[in-house]
Amino acid sequence: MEEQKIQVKKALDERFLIGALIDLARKKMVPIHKHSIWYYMGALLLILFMIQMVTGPLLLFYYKPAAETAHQSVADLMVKVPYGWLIRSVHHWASNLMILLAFIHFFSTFLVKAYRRPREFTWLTGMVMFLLVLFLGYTGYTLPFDERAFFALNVGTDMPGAIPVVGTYVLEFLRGGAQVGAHTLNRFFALHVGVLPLALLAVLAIHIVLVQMHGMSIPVSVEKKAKAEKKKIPAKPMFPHFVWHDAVNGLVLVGLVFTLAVCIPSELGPVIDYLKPAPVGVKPDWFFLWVYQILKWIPTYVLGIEGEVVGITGLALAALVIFCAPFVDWKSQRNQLSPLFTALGVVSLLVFLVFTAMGYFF
Amino acid sequence: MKLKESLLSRRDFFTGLIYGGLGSVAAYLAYPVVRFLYYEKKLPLPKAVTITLADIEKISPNAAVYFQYGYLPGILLRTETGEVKAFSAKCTHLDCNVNYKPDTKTFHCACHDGYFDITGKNIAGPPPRPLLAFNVKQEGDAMVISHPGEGGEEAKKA
Repeated sequence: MEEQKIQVKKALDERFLIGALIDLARKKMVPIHKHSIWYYMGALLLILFMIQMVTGPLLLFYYKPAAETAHQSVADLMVKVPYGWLIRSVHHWASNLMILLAFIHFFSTFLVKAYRRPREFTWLTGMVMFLLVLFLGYTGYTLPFDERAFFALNVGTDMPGAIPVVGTYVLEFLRGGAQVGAHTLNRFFALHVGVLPLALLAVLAIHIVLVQMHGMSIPVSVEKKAKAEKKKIPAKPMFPHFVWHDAVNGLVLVGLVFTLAVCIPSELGPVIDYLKPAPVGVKPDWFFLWVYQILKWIPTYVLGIEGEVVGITGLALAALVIFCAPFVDWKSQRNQLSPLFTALGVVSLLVFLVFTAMGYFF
Repeated sequence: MKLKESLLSRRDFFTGLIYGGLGSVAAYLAYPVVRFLYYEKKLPLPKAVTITLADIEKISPNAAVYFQYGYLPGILLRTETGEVKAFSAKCTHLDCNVNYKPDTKTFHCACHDGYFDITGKNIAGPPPRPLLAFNVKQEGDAMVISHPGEGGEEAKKA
């Protein structure tokens, strides 16, 4: 038995160079310092993405993507199909945690300036994935085609309509017409199960390769401190230490997802009625609450310009600066402390937290 | 380390514990998925279907029509002598629907050229068994067609 095992191992190693990969992981050192905890977020996101890649296709076995059938098929899935409620709730919670962790991953890498040379493209691929994850979350919760989905579709597709010049085209592209209807659902379905996951997968591959090529970024402050104290920053090999940590974190995460799914299963609202008014207190999912609250809070006119236009343009500009951070944060690029961008990060984080809380409670 | 009187070394014991634990977690996760995948809508076969004599009169002699028997497609034949026969239209070879050919007085399955005579007996080609014959009984002004197995084991085979 032992001998066969060794032979199988040898055969696999010969074909897939497993030994070489493990050697590579052993050689790859992960620095240990007070900000090391943020290094774990990527692997957790990857685990959640894998959960989505399993539960998503499972849901497709019973989901019927048409305006007349979507709502009923989700209802059947929840009550008739054995464990349908569980699969859907796991998909729901994994997506929520994925978005939460994406926010944490984003803010932490921004604040430790991990986008510094030579990691500009790691940052850009990360930002693209962040947008894809948000868009996946948004398209996903419209698919049950319930009342909430209807108003989310209306508001969400109306916002890009405020973009100057091309707004109407974007709006009609998303809606598949001037109004939200059966066509919109088909588009959002195609985006959610086809276009967006494939795009995410492709960008993810680049992101992971880049992260492995460059290794983990060390914050400027940690590097400076080590230099001043003439100490080497301690490090541990990726394998087995961090792989082991990731595995344990992942197990806890899977436990958390299932616990949430069992205790708080995902809901299904009433079927769409195109003629009914929006229900009182209708709100977007938590990850768009801050946008919702900012748009609610901005006065109708700012300096004679429509508030909606000001808000959306402002948000887009802020997003653009953050997106291009590695190219505009010259201080960080020269490995100096960059208080301006730290402030920008902190302010963005506060805006996100405060407006999300306001949107939730008021 | 392995004590003389123990079956396993400590390492083997803990390795087993870890793999056993991971295995049970995997089983916990897999169970709902397997149940989810094998959701079958249970469609019981009806006890019987009735066709009025007036409707049967509309079928010309030596011709057949299709009818629905629960989830089974049925074929109702009116012979030249006016006798009414009913079969499951599913060929016993690979489940295609058979067609009645008046010229040769046979049921023909076009998928793999299987033939059945008007009693449902397989006479040529690959079909291994006769067509499933329904019971046909006249009750008042209607024909009552019922499954020989009453939706039991026979129905699953058909």
